Amino acid sequence: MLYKMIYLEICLGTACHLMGSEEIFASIEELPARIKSKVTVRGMHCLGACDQGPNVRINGTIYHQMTPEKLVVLLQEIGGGLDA
Amino acid sequence: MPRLLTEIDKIRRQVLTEVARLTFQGKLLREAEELPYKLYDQGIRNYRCCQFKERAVLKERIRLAVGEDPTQDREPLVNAVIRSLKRDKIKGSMLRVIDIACDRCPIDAILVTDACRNCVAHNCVNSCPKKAIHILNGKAVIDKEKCVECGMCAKACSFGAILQVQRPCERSCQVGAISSGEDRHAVINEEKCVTCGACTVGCPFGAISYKSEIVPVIKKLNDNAHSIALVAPAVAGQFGRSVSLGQVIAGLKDLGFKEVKEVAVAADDIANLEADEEINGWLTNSCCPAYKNLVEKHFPQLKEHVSHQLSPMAYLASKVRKEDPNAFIVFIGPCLAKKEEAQDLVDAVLTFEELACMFVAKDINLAAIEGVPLTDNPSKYGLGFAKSGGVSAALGTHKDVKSKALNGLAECKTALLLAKAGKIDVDFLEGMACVGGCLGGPGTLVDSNLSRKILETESASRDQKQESQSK
Repeated sequence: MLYKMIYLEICLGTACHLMGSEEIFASIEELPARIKSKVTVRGMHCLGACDQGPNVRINGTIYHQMTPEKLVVLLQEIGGGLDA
Repeated sequence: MPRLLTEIDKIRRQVLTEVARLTFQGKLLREAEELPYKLYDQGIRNYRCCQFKERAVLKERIRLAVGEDPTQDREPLVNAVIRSLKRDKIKGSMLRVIDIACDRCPIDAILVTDACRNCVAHNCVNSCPKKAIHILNGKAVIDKEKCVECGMCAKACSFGAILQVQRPCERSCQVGAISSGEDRHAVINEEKCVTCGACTVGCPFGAISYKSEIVPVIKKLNDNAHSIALVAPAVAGQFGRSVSLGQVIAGLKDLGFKEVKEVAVAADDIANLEADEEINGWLTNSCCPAYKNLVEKHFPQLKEHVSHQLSPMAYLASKVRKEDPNAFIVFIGPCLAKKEEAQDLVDAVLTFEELACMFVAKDINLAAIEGVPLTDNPSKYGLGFAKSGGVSAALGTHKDVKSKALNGLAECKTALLLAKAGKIDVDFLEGMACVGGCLGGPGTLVDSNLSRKILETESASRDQKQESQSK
């Protein structure tokens, strides 16, 4: 089975924090175990899109206005197909 | 308040950030009229019926952000901004209802749902003291003329088919200060309101909010005045788990504050003084302004039991004022009631939320800047004032008192009712209006469970450092 790690970078800069990046960070704990085991999380200082926070970068692609709900769907889409 | 960040919070923060940005740049007056359009274009839309209402609500939010009351007349935003820019201090009550944002929730207090089975016992009919329930077409029907909304039927129904519902604003208010006024708009009764701010979190339409003090503060910072920031102990973790207090202080200096002091130091002094106070039966704290309001407005006969000490904020502010009479003193905390407390001693009170919006407006990213070393040395007990149980713990180090921590207004109210009846068996009552203490305040940025953990680890490590230094 091919396992590709998901490299998740969450911006913890003040602009993203104000719009709820802390909640995104906390929601990683709540991810389904199947996804969580593949995710490597890293906090970032700025992803350069401060007016569209909270920003995250997944495997190199930046996603704006993230919410915990959107993130779960996104990670499942990205990570789900690989171990099917 | 352990809670999730809602769209309401995000909208309020976006408005505050834009207003702060324009004020820093000195463009507020010129661009004020355009601001509702700009914010609408930035994505604050699809919440209301149409773009016109959306912008009308935004206009009211901007009025609050510049420290003006919402209005129902068609005054141009520019006029409000002109007044705001002339003002050095925002006075009066801070909690305001935005009438146009209020949905005037048409909630029947008692509602029979489809779960009604038209049973044989008819417990609802039998339980009603006003004989207001009849059975019509196989379902219980409530005669609105007779119903006094006591809720007995809701309790009596074996199927739970009768709901007792309340408007969210009224439910969030523990002191019954919010009622439905003319046209069913929410109305705050100032005589009952203790300014805890629970309604600003409770209303799902964001129709209750607070007047911001960012404009007078930014004006002073722009003028390079000698401004001094007093930071509440609840600051722990507010700007993210990776941001240290040293970084927050560095950020405050970047904003233009000349000095930054920790209020936790004053909390240590207050604990000392409170411990020396003569106890007339029992004593209760004066540091939580909303709790103090509760005692003064709702239990005036218990006023003599409130500690005569100033709150740590007022205590430190008066000390700073003595050294420097011309300083512009800004308290920064999680609290809305502080905005109304001791209006003569401090020049402005900001919430952590307002401060974060100012950082963003000035493009200051706390996560990326170098922290400064801390100069104040509060004990872990002084820092502990921010959490429920902290004041009792601090007092406990001075003398042997039996104390009880009241966590949130509901608990405070129950305990004070008992105290009024003389049924009290403790020496010290610690009242905090927000659940979790200051860390759960309406002006906070993170969940109180997280900030509590950060506060505890931080204060333990600072304590250790101080101990090793004194050796």
